[in-house]
Amino acid sequence: MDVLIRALLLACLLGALPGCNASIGDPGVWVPIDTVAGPLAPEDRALPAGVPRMAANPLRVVTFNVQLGANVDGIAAALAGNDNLAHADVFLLQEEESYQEESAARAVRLADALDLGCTYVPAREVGDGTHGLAILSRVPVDNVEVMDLPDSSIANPRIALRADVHVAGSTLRIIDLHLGAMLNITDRILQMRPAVLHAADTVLVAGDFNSNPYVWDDGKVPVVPVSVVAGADQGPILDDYMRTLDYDTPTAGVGPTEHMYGVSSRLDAIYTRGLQVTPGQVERNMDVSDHWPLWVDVTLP
Amino acid sequence: MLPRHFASATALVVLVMLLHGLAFAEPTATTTAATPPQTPRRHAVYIELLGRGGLWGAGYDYQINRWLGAGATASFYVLDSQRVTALCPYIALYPLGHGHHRAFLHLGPQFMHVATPSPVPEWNGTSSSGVGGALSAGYEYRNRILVRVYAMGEAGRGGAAPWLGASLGWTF
Repeated sequence: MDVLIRALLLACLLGALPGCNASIGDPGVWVPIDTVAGPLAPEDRALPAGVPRMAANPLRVVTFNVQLGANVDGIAAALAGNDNLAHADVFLLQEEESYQEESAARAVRLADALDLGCTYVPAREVGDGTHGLAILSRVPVDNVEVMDLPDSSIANPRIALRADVHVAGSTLRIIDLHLGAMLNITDRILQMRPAVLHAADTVLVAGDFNSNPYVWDDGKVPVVPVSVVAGADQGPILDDYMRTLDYDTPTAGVGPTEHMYGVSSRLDAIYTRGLQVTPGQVERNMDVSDHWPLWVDVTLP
Repeated sequence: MLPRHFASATALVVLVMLLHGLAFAEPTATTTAATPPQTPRRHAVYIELLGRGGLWGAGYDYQINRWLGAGATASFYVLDSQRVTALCPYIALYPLGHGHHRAFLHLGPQFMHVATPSPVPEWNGTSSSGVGGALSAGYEYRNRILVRVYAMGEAGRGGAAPWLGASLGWTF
């Protein structure tokens, strides 16, 4: 009888242990940003008059998570002082914010400091402000659209931003993403997929994919032994998924792009399709964010 | 429906209470009369929370003598469709202790496999396997019930990291 009771208790315990699938919701659709009103309305700044539009083919594209972007002057100085980034053509930024008590969205102020055009699109409200993505560019950008990404119950609302960049008679479609932090790889793919699956044949996808090296229990606890023993790095798996969609993975070998608490991880990436692209490079000499800027040069067909 | 962690904690508390009851229950006159002379309780089975397998495990160990034992923990769990399987044998050393209370060291390899099925039709999914090593140190209470709490360090293809574990089981 004792054995039976113990077996039943064991079954109860195992049944109650974590290990279910987290649900992930439905994706939105691409929506022109000029149709978004209310607290999540975008803010933008046109290209400054008189600033030469010097972009040429190839085009240098940078992705950078600015960690809330509060230190606008510091970020501007760091970008302007970096030989590889000072003359970059397009910046896809993540974790930008905007607050009423500040003169303008931080991305707009950063664009002002760098003489760039800017579009800032909030993903969610934060206190009396907003948090979202931005595209800064020294070349014309239009057809900007936003998509609500499918969202697991454990993550903050996430968006993707899509736009057309016009260079020397050609058009490059770009997609800027910031995915949830504590997702497992299967949910991460499901969250990203609507933005990249049916993208144009000539496209660049970049951002903070949060492709951390962990398997998560319920989005709260990283199950460290799995990462240590079996190797659970989400970055290579995400690269593999994108290759099945005919994307090139020029940043697969760049190494860490983020550092925090003494741990460095490759959370950021750039994927291209239908483009000639150089191997990615990370600017690790900058310390204005927990992420480092990542960039490539792309040649349009 | 109860939150998952609350349900886990509730199940664990129930298990502890029952094992505690079994361990410390007063024997009846009938059972006392029928009980043979006590033999060493060399075998133990237990449930492990966190620990060598990552999230949880079920284990067995055998006490070879006062200072030495051996055992293994097996684990299987599914996290967002990712299936984790682990087998972790170990040697147990008991350098310190008195009576039912002892400090222990466990040393052994970890064999782990992660299968990641594709959540979408355009991709085939992937899997990975690895072998690591773990050294655990902690406290053990062993009487009719077995209780362990410990800290561990482990190393493998993904680097090295600390982790924690706790075990609860019974001996026979």
